[in-house]
Amino acid sequence: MSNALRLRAGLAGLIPGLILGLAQPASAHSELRRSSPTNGAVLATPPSSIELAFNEKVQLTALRLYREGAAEIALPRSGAIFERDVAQRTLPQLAPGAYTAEWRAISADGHAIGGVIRFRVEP
Amino acid sequence: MIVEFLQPDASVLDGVTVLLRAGYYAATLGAAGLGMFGIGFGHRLAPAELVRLKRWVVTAALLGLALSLAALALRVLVLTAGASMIDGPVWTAVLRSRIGDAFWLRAGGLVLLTAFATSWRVGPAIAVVGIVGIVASYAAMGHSMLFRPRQELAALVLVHLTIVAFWIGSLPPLMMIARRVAPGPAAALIGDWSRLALWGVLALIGSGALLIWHLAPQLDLVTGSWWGYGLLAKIALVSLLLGLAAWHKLGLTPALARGEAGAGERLARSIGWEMLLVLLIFWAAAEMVSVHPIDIGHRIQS
Repeated sequence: MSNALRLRAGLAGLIPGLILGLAQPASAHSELRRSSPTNGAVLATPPSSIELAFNEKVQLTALRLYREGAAEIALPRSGAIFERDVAQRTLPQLAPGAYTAEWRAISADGHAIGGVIRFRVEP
Repeated sequence: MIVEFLQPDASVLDGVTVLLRAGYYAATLGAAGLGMFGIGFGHRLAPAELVRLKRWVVTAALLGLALSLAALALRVLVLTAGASMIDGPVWTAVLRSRIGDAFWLRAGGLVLLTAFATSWRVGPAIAVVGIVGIVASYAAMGHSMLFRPRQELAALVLVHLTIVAFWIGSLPPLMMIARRVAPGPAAALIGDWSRLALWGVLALIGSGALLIWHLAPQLDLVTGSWWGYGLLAKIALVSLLLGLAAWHKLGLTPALARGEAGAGERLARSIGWEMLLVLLIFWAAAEMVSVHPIDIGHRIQS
């Protein structure tokens, strides 16, 4: 193939490629704004649920709860994952002790975000 | 990886993600760059060299695909907080998110790029679409999509990474050419590449500076964040790379042109060091992606 033909062939490929590349929709970053229980909370009565509130809609992909010195406490999850700015999970009856809730989500921009909330239920 | 382990509640999975990310940056952008070199300079290679270059393009594309897929699987594991790599609903969520958009764009680009290795008349054109897809996938998610001005940032990322890909993808074939028995044509080809690369370096620095100016418009945003520390490490490594490239252009390539004994081997070895620096730069870039620039009101809110 001649140089000129090679250049034309390259440019012919460049134009649809650039359109394909630039036609991406806008997006935003996501952050956890508050949680219930709050991180570090000391509770007199066990919480009936965990609630995570974000600054915008995210897809909560994981919420795992651990009691210190014990096995993970299984939290049921509905099948599909939807975008929500407030995610809530019902908790089983929690015994007194220290707990760690680990959450993960897909931010609106595509980043994986996550964090840990520690709380204690007093006897 | 280092930055991740300096964060509170550091995660091993997130640390491994950084390494895998650096790997697929190198493989996918390297594949794109090998394709660019082949389209621009392939006609000046010996038939056996062109065959080898085509094999490299296909190998790098396949490696890029494998690493991108592995990164996606690791992302699912991260998003399940380490519970499972085969969680169906999380895979669905990932593939419908910007992570999935970027993956499909990159994977499609890598597949199209392999058209360069065929004898089709339209092979180079298809490969160029693939190259644009690969580079554009890096603007489909990430910090360039988080901050204003979004379109300008996306365009700058495209320009910046196109030059990065061209540079790094050129290194293996340049190393091969430097080891040729006949130094004359090799020096001429490397000289022509260097002249083109000089403009590329200027555009690389210009687009990089504009990206920093948009993402961290105040100096204290660079010196006061993990993202900024990653950026400073990257700039230091790029400075070393530029110094090495200048040594190649002003010292080793003229020696090759003069036919000095061992000049080709010295240049090839030095290009090898350049490739190692490139890997470190990708690692620094992968570290930067795991943290964010400080928001001073220029972050886009939905």
